[in-house]
Amino acid sequence: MTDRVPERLNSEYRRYTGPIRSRRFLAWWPITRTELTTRVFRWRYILLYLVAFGPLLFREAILYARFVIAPVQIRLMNEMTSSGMSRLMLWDQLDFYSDYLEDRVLWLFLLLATAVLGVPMVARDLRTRAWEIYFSRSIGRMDYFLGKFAAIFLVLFTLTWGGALSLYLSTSLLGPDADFFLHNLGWLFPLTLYSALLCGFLALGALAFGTLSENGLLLAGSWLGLFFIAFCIARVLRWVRPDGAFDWIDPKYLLMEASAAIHGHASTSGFPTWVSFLLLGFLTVISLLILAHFLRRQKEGIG
Amino acid sequence: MNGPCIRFAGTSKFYGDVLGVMGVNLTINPGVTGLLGPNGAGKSTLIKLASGLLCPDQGDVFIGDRSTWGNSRLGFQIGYLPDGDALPDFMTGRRFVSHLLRFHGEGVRSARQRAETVLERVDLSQAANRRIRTYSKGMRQRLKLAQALAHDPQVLILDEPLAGLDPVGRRDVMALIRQAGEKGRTVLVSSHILHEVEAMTDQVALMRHGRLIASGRIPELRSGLQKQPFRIRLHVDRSRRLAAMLMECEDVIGVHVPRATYLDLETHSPEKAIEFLTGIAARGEACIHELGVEDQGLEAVFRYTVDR
Amino acid sequence: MTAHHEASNVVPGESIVVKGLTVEYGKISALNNLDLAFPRGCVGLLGPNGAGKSSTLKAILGFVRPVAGRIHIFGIDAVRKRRTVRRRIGYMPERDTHLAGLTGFRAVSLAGELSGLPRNEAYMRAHEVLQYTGLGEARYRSVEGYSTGMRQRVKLAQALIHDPPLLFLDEPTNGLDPEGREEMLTLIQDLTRNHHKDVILSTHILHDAEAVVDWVAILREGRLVGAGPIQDILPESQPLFRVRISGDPATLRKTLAHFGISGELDSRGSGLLSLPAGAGPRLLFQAASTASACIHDLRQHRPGLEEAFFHALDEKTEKTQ
Repeated sequence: MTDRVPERLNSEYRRYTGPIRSRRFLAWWPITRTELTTRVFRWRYILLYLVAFGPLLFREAILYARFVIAPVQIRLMNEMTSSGMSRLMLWDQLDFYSDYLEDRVLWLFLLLATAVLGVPMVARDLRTRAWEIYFSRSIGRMDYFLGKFAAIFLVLFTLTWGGALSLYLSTSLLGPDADFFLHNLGWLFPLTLYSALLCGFLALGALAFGTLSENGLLLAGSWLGLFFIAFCIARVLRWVRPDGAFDWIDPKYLLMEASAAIHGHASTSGFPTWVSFLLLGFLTVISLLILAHFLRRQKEGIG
Repeated sequence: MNGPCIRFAGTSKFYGDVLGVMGVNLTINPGVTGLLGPNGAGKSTLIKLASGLLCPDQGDVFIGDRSTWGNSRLGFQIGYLPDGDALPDFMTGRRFVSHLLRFHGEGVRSARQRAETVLERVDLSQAANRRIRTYSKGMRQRLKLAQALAHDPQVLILDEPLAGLDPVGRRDVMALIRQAGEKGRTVLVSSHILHEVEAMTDQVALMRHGRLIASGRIPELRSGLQKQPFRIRLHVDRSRRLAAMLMECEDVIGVHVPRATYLDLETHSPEKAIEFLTGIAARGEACIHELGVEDQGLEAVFRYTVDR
Repeated sequence: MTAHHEASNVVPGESIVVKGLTVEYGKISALNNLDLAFPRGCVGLLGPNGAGKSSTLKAILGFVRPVAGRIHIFGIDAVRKRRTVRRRIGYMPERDTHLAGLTGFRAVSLAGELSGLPRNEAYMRAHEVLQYTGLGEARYRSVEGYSTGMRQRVKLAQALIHDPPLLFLDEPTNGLDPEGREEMLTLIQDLTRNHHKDVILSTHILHDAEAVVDWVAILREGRLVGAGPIQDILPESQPLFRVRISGDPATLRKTLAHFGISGELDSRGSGLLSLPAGAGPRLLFQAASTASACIHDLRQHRPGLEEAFFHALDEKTEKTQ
C-alpha cells in the first residue's frame, strides 16, 4: 500500500462560493454535536446507560403502580412505609422528586459518565495535538471549552433534570390531582437549580481534570479514585465522629446538603449548610484555575 | 578493515496474514547502501530483521557469519538508528549515551569520554546536559544517531536518519554517512528522499510489495533497463556537423536536433558514446559546452522499476 | 538541469507583512524585531532549527501573543482580529495532529463547520476536498488507522476546506514516499499556478522547496538573513563547471593540476571545477583525454537554493530585502 493515488475522476479543486456564517454565540455547537454523536452515543456504553436509567425507571414504576394498578397501592404503601422508604411514597411532596436527584445509583452513574466521557475529552485532544487544528479555525479558546463542557453537561443534565421533569410530568398525567401540574410549577425552580449545580460542578471538574495529562485512561482512573478516597476517608471519620461533623469530606454529602438547602427539606448530615456551599464554590474555583493554567501553558507549548 | 556483510538468505517474514517481506536474497557489502521503496514495501521489516529485532519466518539473516536472531553479541557489532521516538525523557542526553556505552562494557571514564566525542560529532555538546524531554525533533534525531555511532560499530543500520533535521543537519549527517562508508563500515540507509540517497551512495536495493526487485549500483541498474535507451543531451556550437559525425558512430541509435544548439543522442551503451565524445571534443573536432546523460539517476531507476 | 527561477512568476502585492515582530517565551527570545513581507505566490520560509520559523507561524495564527510588533495579513491586523485572519489562512501542521476518534470525513467536515461553513456545505465540500487531495474510500475510516501519507492528505484537506486565499504548509512532504512526495508537490503547484492561492511553504528539504517556490525568506536565530527571489540571494561566483569524470583519480588529479584546472573530485569523480581565465570547456575534454578518462557529465554550474541557503546562513549581518 503506497501513498500513491489511484486513478482520480473529477479531482479538480473547486473554489468555495457559499455562505460563511459568523456564528458568534453558537460557534461551539459543532464541537458539542460531534462529541455527542461520535463518542457518547456508542453501543459500548449501553450498560452504563442502563444503569443510569435504573433509578428513573424504578420511580416511574412506583408511580405507575400507585396510580394505575389500584390493588397494588395499599399493599405497596404498607410494605414501603414499614421498610422505611417513606419518602418514595410522597408523590405530592417535592421530596419525591428531589430524592431522585439524590439517588445513590444516579450519583454513581454521574461519576462514571464524567470519568468515561468527560475527563478524557481534553486529554485525548492533547495527545493528538488537536489544539493546532482547532485553533487554526476561526473559533476562540472559550468556544472550544464551552463546546466540550456542553457535551458532558448535556449528558448529565438530560438524565438528572430530564428525569426529575419526567417524574413530575408522569405524576401530572397519571395522578388523581388534575391541577397538580400548575399547582406545583414552583417546584421546577429548585429542581432545575440543583440539577444545574450538580451537573455543572461535575462537568467543570471533569473538564479541568482532563487538561492535566495526555493519558486519558490514567486521568479517568484518578478521577474515580479521588472520589473513592474521599468516600473512604469520610466513612472512617464517621466511625470516629458519628455525629457526622466530618461528612463534608465526601462530595456526595456536600451535594446532598446543598440539595437539602435548595429543596428545603431537612438535612441528614452533621455539618452546617454554609460549609457545603463554601466547599463547592472552592472546588469550582480550583477547576477554573486549572483551566486558566492550562490556557497559559498552551500559549507557549503549541507547535 | 572492512565491516562484515549483511546477508539475507531467502528471508521471509509475515505478520499473521499480512506480508512483511518474502523471499529476499540480498547481500549488503561494506560501504553505504540505500534501501528504497514505497511505504509498505517491507523496508522497515528488512531493517528490523537485520538488526535482530525480528525473527525471520523463513530463511535467515546473517551479519558476517552469524545469524542476527538470538545473537546476544549483535548489539556490539551494529549501531541501529530506529524510526520511532522512544527516548527516555527523564535522562539527559549525555547520561543516555554514556549509559549505553557502559552496556557495551566500557569503564565509567572511557564511556564518558567516548560519549563526549560522539556528542560533539553530532553537534549536541551544548544540549547534552539538558533532559531529553526538552529536545526538539532535530535534536532527538541527532541523539539517536549518536547512540548508534557511540561504540564505533562495524555495521550501521539507519532508518530514515535525516528525518527532522534542518538543511544544515542534513548536510552534516550525509557527510558523516559518506565518511563511514569510505572508512569501510557497512552502512544500510533507508530513506524516501532519492536525491539525498544518491548523494550518499551508488549502491541501492529497491523493494516493492515485500519483494526485492533490484539491487546493485545505480548505473548498472539503469543500463539493465534495456527498454529505455539513454539520452545524452549536448549543448554545442554546431549541432548539424556533430550530428553527422555521431551518425557514423555505431553505438548511437538515434540523433535529434531539438534546437539550433542542442543535440540529443540515444544509445544503449552510454559509456562508449561518452568515450567517443570525449575524444572528438579533445581533438577540437566539435565544441561541446555542456553534456549530460539524462534520465539515468536514481530517480529514473526508481521510476522505471518500482513505479509501474 | 536545475530549474531556473524567474522573478516574473511572483505576483505583485503582499500577503503577509510583519514589522518589528518580537516573540519571547519567558526569557528565551525566539524572534527579535523581525521585518518581513511575504509576496504573493508560492514562497518558502526556511531556516535551521530554532531559527524562529514556527514562532513566526504561531504569531501569525494567533497561537502566541507577540511582545512587540505588528502583523498584517491582506491588510488585516492579525494580532487583534484573530478570528477574521484565521478564516483567510489554511494551516497544515507539521506534526501528527488529528482530531481523535473521528473518521477522515468527519474530521474535515468538522473543521469546515468550525470555520463558518454551514453544515450541508461543509459535508459537500469535505467530500470534494478529500477527493482533490486523493483520499478515497479511506475517508470513512478512523484517522487513527491511517498511514503517514493519508494523514498528510487529511491535514491538507482540512487546511483547504474553507477555501482560504493563503495556505501555510509546514513540512508537507514529511514521511511521504517518493511517489507521495511528487503527488504533494504537484498538488501545491496546482494550487498556486491554477487556482492562484498564496502558499507559504516551510520545509527542511531544499530540493522540494526549489521545485515549487519562487521566492524565499531565510531565518536564523530569530532574525532574517536573506529574502528574495532565489537568484537574487545567490552568492556571486566565478563560472564553475559541475562534472563527473570517470578514470583513475590519482592520474586525473595530476592531469587537472597540469592543465591549471582547480577543484576537488570525490571518490565517484563528481565535483566542481573552475578553469583558468579565458579557457573553455574544451580544456576539460583535453585534460580528460590525456588522463584516459571520459567526461560523463558537464554542466555549467548554476547555483541553486542550497547554495543560496548556506550562503545566507554564513553571513553574519542581517540582510534586508
